[in-house]
Amino acid sequence: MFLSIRDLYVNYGKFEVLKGVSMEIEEGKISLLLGANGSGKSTLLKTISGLNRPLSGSIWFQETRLNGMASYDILRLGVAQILEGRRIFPHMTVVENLELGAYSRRNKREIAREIEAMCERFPILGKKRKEQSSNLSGGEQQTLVIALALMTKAKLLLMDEPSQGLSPLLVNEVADTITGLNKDGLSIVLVEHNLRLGLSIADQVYVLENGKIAFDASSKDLSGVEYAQKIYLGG
Amino acid sequence: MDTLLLQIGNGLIIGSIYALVALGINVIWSIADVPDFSQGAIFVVSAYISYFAVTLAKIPYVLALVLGMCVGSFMAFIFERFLYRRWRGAGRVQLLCAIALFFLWTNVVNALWTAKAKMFPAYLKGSMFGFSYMRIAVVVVAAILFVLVYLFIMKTKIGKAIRAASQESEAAQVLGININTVNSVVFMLGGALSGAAGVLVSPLYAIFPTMGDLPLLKALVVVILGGFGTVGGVLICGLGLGVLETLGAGYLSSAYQHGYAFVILIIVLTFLPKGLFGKV
Repeated sequence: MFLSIRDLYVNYGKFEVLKGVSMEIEEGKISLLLGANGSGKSTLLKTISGLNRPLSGSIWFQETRLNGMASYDILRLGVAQILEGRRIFPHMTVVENLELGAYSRRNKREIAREIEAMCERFPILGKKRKEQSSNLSGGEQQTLVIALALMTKAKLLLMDEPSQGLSPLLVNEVADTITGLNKDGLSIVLVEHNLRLGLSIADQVYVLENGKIAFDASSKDLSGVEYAQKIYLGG
Repeated sequence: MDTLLLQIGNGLIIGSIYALVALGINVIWSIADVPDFSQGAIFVVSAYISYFAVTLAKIPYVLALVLGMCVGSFMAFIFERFLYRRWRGAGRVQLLCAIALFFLWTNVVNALWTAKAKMFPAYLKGSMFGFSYMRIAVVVVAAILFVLVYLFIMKTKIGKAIRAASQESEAAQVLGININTVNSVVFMLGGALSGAAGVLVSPLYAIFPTMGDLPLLKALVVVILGGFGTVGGVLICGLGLGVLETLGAGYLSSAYQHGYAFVILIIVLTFLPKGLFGKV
């Protein structure tokens, strides 16, 4: 299995956030993680990427146990995360941000080539390459965040709310980008409040309720957005 | 007029010391989130070690300065690795550790080498424009160190990681930046700067166990005045504080010389709660 999570428990202090999450993520798929606010979606992603420590349970990525590993080691295995809220480095230029995406690598020429390729793939970044990233619009910042994650050369990308705070037009652009990345072979675990966006691009859907996976299904199995909304809102 | 210029010059010299200690504290505080009072102790220990290196081992002053920086760097590394890191996320415990380290090391120095002041031998003779070369050297070396720190943070790979971690710690971690390494480097940098300040100031005054108290307090004022994460703000506020303090002592009353910094702090924070150049 590509990513396998078994009986995962995570606490914040005495507060139990994840209470025995188990799930299997397939390679090459877009897996959508749904759940009400506070259900533990972001905590789960952060635990996979090593920012949170699990209390018990295990996380396996391609035969390697991730528990107890530091974020930088998990990244080297090919698991990258896009955090919620467009977390770029605001006082650095676009190019400096992209260079940070390749922080764990040393070949400067190769990194420079990849930055050029990224600027061609996302022309707005190329156009504003020397600007402070805090001056970019919301959509441009989200593009930069995605480009940053791609610079890591990840095999699995964990995306937390990539459409948050974006206009409907930009949301569609983000959806196209995610689909494009997936077609290029990138596996994606997506946490997304925008159900229409999430369900339109996901292959597999997981619903997290009260710190556990309540059910999982193929996105085509769900009888439309309204049904998913009912589950998603805990109704 | 000559007196005024001399006062300003002396203010810049003492301000350079404040700025050096403040820069180290500022970098540590803004990145590792530790108000590292132990820098005051590092200032003292480095001064003593360099003093003994010069008087007993007869090494040149420049090497003693480098030795003092290495001692400061090593102490800060040990404090971070075995104490502050253990309590990461528990800010109040780290604060208590920092205060404890400061008093502990001041007392250790007192116990080892007594409270009797020691005089650092002069390493340069002569003067220019009424300032001894040793005083001028303080400003020159401090300026060189500021430029080196700036280049280190802006131009090196680890410097870029430090900037990234100070802006978005979690995002930096998921991009492969080892936050433990960043913290170690930042503490070592701060320790080296405090060590340098201690060695630089030693030949101008005497060496005694509590010599770090006032520079530490003034450096904290500079950090808060300048704002976190601003190298330029620290430099301007450090030098400015040194000059204002010296002018206050010269033209108002020397009895309140060490109180002026706190009066300035209260006035500035009343009108600019985020400090002059950054955020509190």
